[in-house]
Amino acid sequence: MRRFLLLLVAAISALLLTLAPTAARKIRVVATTNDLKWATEQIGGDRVEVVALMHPLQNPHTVQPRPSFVVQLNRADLLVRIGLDYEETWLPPLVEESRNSKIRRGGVGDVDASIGIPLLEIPTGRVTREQGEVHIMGNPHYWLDPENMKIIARNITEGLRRVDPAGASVYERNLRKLEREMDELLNETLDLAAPLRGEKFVAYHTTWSYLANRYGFRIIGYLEPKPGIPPSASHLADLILRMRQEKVKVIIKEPFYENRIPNMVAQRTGAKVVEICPTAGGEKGTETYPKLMHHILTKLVNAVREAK
Amino acid sequence: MVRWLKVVAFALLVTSAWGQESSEVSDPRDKELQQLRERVAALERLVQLLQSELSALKRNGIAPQSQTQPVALQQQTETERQKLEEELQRELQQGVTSSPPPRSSPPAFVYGGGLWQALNPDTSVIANFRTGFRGKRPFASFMGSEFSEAELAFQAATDPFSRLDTFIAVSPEGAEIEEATLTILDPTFIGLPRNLQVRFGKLLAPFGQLNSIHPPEQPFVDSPLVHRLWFGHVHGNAHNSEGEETIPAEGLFTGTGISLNWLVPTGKHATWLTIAPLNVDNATFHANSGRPVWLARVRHMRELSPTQTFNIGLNYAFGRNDLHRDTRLLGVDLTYRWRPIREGLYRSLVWQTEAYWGWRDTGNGTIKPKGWFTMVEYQLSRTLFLGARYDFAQSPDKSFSGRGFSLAITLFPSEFGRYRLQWSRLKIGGQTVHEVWLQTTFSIGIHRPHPL
Repeated sequence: MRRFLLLLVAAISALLLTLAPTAARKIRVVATTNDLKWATEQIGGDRVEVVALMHPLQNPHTVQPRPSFVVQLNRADLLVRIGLDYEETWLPPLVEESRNSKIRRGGVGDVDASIGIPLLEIPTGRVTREQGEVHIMGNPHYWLDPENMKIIARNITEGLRRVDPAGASVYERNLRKLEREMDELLNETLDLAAPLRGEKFVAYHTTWSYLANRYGFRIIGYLEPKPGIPPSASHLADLILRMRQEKVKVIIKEPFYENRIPNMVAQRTGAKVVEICPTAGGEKGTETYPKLMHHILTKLVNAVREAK
Repeated sequence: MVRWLKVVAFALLVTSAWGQESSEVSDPRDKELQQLRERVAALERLVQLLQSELSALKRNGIAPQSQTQPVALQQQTETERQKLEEELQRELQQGVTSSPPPRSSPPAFVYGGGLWQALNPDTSVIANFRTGFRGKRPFASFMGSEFSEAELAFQAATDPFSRLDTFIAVSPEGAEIEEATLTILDPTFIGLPRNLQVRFGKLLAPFGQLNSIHPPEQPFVDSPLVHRLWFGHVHGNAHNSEGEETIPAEGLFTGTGISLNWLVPTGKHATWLTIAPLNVDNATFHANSGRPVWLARVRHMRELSPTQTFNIGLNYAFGRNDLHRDTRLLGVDLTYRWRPIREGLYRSLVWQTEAYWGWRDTGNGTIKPKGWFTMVEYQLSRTLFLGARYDFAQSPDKSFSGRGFSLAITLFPSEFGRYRLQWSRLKIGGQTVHEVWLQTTFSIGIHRPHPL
């Protein structure tokens, strides 16, 4: 009998020990990108642990699903995603495979960070595949504008409040702090980017529309003839002539695109190719979102200065 | 509009400056100047913000960048343009130079999409056309062109707990439901554990990795011999006019019933256990035999590194054959995938090998057929893939066997279409034949990406 009681006490203690960390455990958040991870960490503080699925140097269209993604999504309390079909080629089957109904579309733990963003480049009229891999709900690279980061942060705050109502006051406080920081960042970067105003660029893909819009420069053409369609000789010939005519001296490309075609165009136009990663953590000194924005704009300003 | 904003800003500036002047007449002149400077800077920012908002509104209303045509191109001489185009064409064809990192194309025949379609299901059509030559030499005899299949897919969530996926294959032989499944995505609402996924309907049998992919999306024009011989259907006579064995070009192991799939997360790796009793009718198992075919699969997926995964599966099937006697199948499948992080658009590799063993009770003894295939697909560039396959299979009754070697080159002009040229050397029932196929496969509409 005594042995039985001892066993019972040991079993109850073991049970309590397993329950104790559960009660105190952090909110598990899976973000699809490093920028969303950063924003979630700012809002969630010590109450959250966040992982990002995508590598910052990875093209969002070629993410190879990995078993660790399934495991992380299976255990997640919250999924923060860019939305607007940005992760559409790989995320939905993973979410389904994760068996976690909380993070499915419309679930309590699903955060579409794009809600409320004033979107650019929403196609009008009839949308067909003739237009390439067009983002039918609008350009999804909206995080490259500090004003939009405030909206992203609000969406994340809402999501965290849903899954962790006890932390609502912390999240609200952190949100207000982040909003102030974004206002400061905007002021700083507007000054920093002053030399870019009115400048013309060519880019590989439609990644930079929100950045251009906020800081007053123009992307006059793209190496891809249509989004997601490989460059053709005919398109590049047109683009080169236009660059010569409009005196475009800088080509922006992301690290996950090849160098050959930008270099071919640069050779014929005298332009400089600037490689910029649009996601935090892809380059040295871009570990946080404010550092990323400073880094991108500094690189562009330097490129413009050098070209002149 | 911009001019108007500048006027407003100027007016604000003047008003503000006047207000300042009247209220702070006594302030020193330099302090006042400083304040004015700050005010001007603030207003400049305001104007800039308003300009940005204005351009955002404008851009929201216009077509994407791709539709904008170069304005002053006509001022350039056409000869200059042509010369430039020819030069670029030559250079593009030369291939990748040594300095830049190599890259390539879509992950596989996957489909972007993500079209939000209100309450309508995601609807797509994948059209598969092929033209082939067959004979003792390549191009010896024209087999004809055929519209081999149009796969119609309708996929949508039925409610917050489940999803319906329907794939209908329309071919010259008629229309067939290839797959129609109701998947319970949230089994907790009926008190089942969260990691359990329940599927009902006509399913792709959980047997091997390749069998989870519909034929138009597989990496070769035809299925491996073991799939064709064991899981295909022969229409009409089993021999052609020249006495050769006629075997179907495709073989997909499907069945109707229920599937229970349990996810076991293990660290950064994942394991799935599946059990499925299905009603199956193919060359190996016979429908209406009085009992279902029981299938079991254990699949373990390991993450070797952020760029490499390895998948191993053990498969078992037990049911009755056309003689109403027992047949057992055992299968092993291995899949290795590599896709670099940075160059993932331009390079990838998939190696897949599957081996099956059968035990077919005939009443007079047990026949033990076997079959296997190994294939590799390497991505050469953004749009070009090269594939090779070697396969061997004995027919389920072991009356003949076949082996083959195939090479395929596939061009993806976009994520939604592909052209494929394939050459195969097959030795079936002792006769050697060459096959040359040209396949074009295109999809329209929204097709959900494939499961993991």
